[in-house]
Amino acid sequence: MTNLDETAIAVTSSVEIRGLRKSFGHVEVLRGIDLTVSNGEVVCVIGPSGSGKTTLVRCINRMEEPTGGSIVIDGVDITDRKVDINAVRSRVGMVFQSFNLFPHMNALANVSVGLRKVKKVPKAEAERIALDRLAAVGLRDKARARPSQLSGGQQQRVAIARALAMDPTLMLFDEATSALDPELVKGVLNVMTDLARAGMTMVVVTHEMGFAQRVADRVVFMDKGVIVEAGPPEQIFEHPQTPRLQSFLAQVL
Amino acid sequence: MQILHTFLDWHQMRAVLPELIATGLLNTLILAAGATVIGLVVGIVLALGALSRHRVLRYPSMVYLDLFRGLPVVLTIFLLGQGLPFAGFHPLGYGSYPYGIAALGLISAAYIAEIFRSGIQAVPPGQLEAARALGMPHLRAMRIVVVPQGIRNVLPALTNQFIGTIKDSSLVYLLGFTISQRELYRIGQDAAQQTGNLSPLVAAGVMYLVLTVPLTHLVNHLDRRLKSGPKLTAAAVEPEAAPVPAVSAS
Ligand SMILES: Nc1ncnc2c1ncn2[C@@H]1O[C@H](COP(=O)(O)OP(=O)(O)OP(=O)(O)O)[C@@H](O)[C@H]1O
Ligand SMILES: [Mg+2]
Repeated sequence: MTNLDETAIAVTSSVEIRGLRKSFGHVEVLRGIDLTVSNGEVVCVIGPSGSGKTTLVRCINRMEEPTGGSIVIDGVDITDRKVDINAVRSRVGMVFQSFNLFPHMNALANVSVGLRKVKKVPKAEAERIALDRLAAVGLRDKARARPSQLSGGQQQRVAIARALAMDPTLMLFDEATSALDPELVKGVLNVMTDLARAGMTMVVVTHEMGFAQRVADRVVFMDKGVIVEAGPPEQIFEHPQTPRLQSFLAQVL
Repeated sequence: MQILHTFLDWHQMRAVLPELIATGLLNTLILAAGATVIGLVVGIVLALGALSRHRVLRYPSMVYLDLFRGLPVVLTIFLLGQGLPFAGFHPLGYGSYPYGIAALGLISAAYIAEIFRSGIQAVPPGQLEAARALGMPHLRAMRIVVVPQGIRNVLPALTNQFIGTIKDSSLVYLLGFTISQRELYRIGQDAAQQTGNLSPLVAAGVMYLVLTVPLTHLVNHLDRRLKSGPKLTAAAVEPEAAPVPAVSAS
């Protein structure tokens, strides 16, 4: 249904997270996270509510300021104050649970606005790229539609196209399908699967265990601000080692 | 019959009507529109300041809002309109008219800033986040994504504020205007004093209502459209300017 798999992603990033800590006030939400994501790797993050999954992915593009540790993307520690965080963010795509499309712009403008206002690409060129990305998520014919005229699934696919327009080298997904009606989940997961197959480096927080099983290179199980278990999907889902993961899987599967 | 004569003497009204329209209405509109333009420009700066994460921007804005919203309009008009020239500052020249516009404008800026601030705060935080996640610096994200949405939320309140400024413009005559600078109230009041009859003042009142009543109904209309939510956006969708060839998604 999409053409993402036809065009392999040329440049990807790697991420090395060391001793990552994050506190909100006195509450420490991330308590020393170590995680390496290699070029083109798809890491799915699972875990109970409140375990810190969202906070972890939001630290990776510094939407949250870490309170300790380091996050090295392609050799650059982005927790360094001197790093141009806007330049980093323009290469790291983020997809939110609530889509967050800009309601005052049509789909085409949503997808091209980053190119125009961040990368300063001329309008015609930006719209050409935007149309291409909309086509990649199967929504070329919705270019002129406002978000309010699109279904939740379509909105989320536009949001993915918006991120892809920036030619990201790393994509972060935070429960991209949790706000969707069940019948719309598949379309979004298909786009994400295509993207993974095309070789994108991806960190995916998800409650879709089937997706994690099929698409992830590695699954990370978080609980109470730490990574409890990590490994290939077969190991995590079929041979969980820790009681915490075992009881979590018993609840969700 | 005495009452009718005092308030609704048709001849008195007709006598003052040409001046009310040609001079009064024009000046009231110039004062209110000029003040609102100043108010919008200064107000948006103040709103962004009040919303800033930096104290050096936030505190001065908050102090401004507290001061100008906390003082009686008359007092502010006098302090700015007479005080400045009195103290030897003549940034706007020696006539009092521009000071009147400026005083009204700076007052309405405080209210407009508060309107913008609440409108901007009503925009879901995810909007700013999505823009920042694309790599937009804070101010650019505010300008391109947040403020345009905030402004749509505040159109009714801004129109209300404009109505208030039209009415407040009746106070700037206190600064002393020339004959040709008089606005609606002053013309009505002068004529009433000369003739000992209140009908010219009633005529001035009618002129105010001609301005404000349609605006009030516009506010109600805008409010209803906003409340009806999604319909607004659906109705505001631009026509297919340049239809994109639909590609069969296969
Ligand atoms: N901005 C914030 N201020 C204070 N506490 C926060 C903030 N954001 C998150 N938290 C707290 O941090 C903890 C971890 O939150 P986080 O959203 O990362 O969990 P999660 O694993 O994504 O959960 P869910 O599956 O429900 O989305 C929670 O206890 C949450 O209440
Ligand atoms: Mg979460």
